Amino acid sequence: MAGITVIALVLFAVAWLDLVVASWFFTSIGLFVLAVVLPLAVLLFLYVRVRSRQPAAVNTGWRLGNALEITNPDKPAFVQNAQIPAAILRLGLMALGGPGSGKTESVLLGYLKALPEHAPGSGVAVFEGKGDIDIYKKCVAMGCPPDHFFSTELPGSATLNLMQGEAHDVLDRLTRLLIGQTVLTSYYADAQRAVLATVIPLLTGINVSVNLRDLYAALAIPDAGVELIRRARDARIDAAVIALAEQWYQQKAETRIAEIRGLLNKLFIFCHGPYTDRLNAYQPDINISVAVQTRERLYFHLPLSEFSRDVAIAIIDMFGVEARRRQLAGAEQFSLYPLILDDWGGFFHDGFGPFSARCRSAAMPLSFSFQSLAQVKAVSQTFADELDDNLATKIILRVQGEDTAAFALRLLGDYDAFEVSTSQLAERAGTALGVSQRARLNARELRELAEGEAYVSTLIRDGSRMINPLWRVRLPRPAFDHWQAVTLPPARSHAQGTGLGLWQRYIDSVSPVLTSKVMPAAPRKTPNNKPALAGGAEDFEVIEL
Amino acid sequence: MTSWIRLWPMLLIPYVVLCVIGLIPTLHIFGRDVGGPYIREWVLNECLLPLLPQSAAIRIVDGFAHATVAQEFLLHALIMLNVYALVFPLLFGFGMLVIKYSVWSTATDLALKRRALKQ
Repeated sequence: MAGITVIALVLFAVAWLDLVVASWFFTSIGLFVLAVVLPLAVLLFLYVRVRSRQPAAVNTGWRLGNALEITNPDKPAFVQNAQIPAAILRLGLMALGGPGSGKTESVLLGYLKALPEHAPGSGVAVFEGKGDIDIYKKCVAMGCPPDHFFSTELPGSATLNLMQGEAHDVLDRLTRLLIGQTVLTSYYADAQRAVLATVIPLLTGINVSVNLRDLYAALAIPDAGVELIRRARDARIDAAVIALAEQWYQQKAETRIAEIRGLLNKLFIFCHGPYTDRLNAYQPDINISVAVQTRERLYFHLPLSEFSRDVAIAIIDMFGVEARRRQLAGAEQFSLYPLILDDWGGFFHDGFGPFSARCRSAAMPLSFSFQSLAQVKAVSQTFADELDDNLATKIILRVQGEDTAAFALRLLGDYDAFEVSTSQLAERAGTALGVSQRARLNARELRELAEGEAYVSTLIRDGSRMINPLWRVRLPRPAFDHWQAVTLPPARSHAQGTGLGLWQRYIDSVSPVLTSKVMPAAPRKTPNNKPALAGGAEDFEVIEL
Repeated sequence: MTSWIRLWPMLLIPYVVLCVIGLIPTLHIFGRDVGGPYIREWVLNECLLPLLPQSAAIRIVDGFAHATVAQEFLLHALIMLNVYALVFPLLFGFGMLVIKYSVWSTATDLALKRRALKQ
């Protein structure tokens, strides 16, 4: 191409010189005008052609502004209006950066602000693992208020129901959430799973709203179990399922409770306490399935703690269920529903790898940020490798730790550096050409990034091939002026609503005082050594808190 | 490796030769006058006049008849520049081929050595 350009230029120059000489020799005004106009016409043609070549392939996406392309750091190139294509954003992105590097303000808020441009009409779920309330306020201030705000701690939270869904989905979720795994034996885990598999179909099959408290009462209070079986019969649930449940309830209460003691202890955390009303609403404000289908904007405020981590795992699992539904129905018919997980390092868990893979293929791409490689490795080395393999876009902000910097440098890759050396020795003069592979960046360059500055590695389609540019860019920070004036959702009571109500009848009704002081314990035996089927409060011991 | 730094004379020399032909002094060889104005006149007759309209050709011939040696040479150089422009793509293409071959042979040599070292 360059050769043709040179030839064309030479021919044009000769023709132009001919014109100039001819206009002088023949004193022709026409030739003179032509000699003046022709170069101008050619310059105009070249200008229009160059302009029409600008960002050809990328039409919509997340606009990052001007960037310096350093795919080959020896030949940096200025890129006007760099943008991550919308199609590539559907594959998810990862942001890695230390505290104060701009992960939240530049990546999370920037992505949210750009969402209407590259995925118009889509919903979004934001999971904020740091717990800063200013992030919510900035979201609102920049014009992206969520439809629902959920918080594990703040009083203005919307409500959820962690028991929502089909029986097998609830079983999977609660197995992951409530049953601990040991490397020594899986006896108790298997037994507890079997109990859940027996009771959950009864609860979800009676066509009444249920919650985790109903499950707790059904497992721990024999009378509640009896009522559940009776209602299951009325609802004409499969006789085999009822028979299995009856069989379990006929065991000695002591044996029964001993088997599921660990499960009850874990379940109790979600049933009793200052923040559990919002998890047990029979008619919750947030129905994950409906929210995804109706493209609602959800904001989950989850300040890291053991409790919020457990809640987060349950919520993530509910999104996983919806992702599976979309997968099976054919994801291409659904609009994008991105999940943004900010500062998610402390929330990665064992099932996160399969969850992320499922979401990606269900048009629910994950975009998450974290601070340190150690947070990813805590899940598994395999998961750390999966991040590299599966996420098309990586945004590396300022990182501090050696290990994390090394991980970031590996993500950004190597390039072929050409070295030319010339020697001028008397008889051995000559030029040598060498090639070596070098990291595109070094750790110091990552440490010296200013807030909001980042290296972005993404994919761009160029005709029939994909290219992987690496840009250095200052991410555009959305305007969220006066965010301090934004108020949090007002405090509210988290009404339970109308549902099965086993907890109220068998635990709350015994004594309001008890409900604040009960802890699960093995049921006391009756004189004839049978489980206390008639009792309710007898199955609990009152402890002084 | 060969580059245009080495090859640029290859592009220039043909034009210089074409121009220098017009500067050869008039010589009397075997009873005939050759060189000098005869060459410039021949170039004018064969390369320019057949392409021009008759009126323009007559004005050129008139001008050439009253021109000094320097003016004749400038016209000769201009005509030769056009002739050279026709040849230029061939020369340039040949230069590109030489460079590409040189780059290919060097790069292949390097790649083979790298591969051999890795094994």
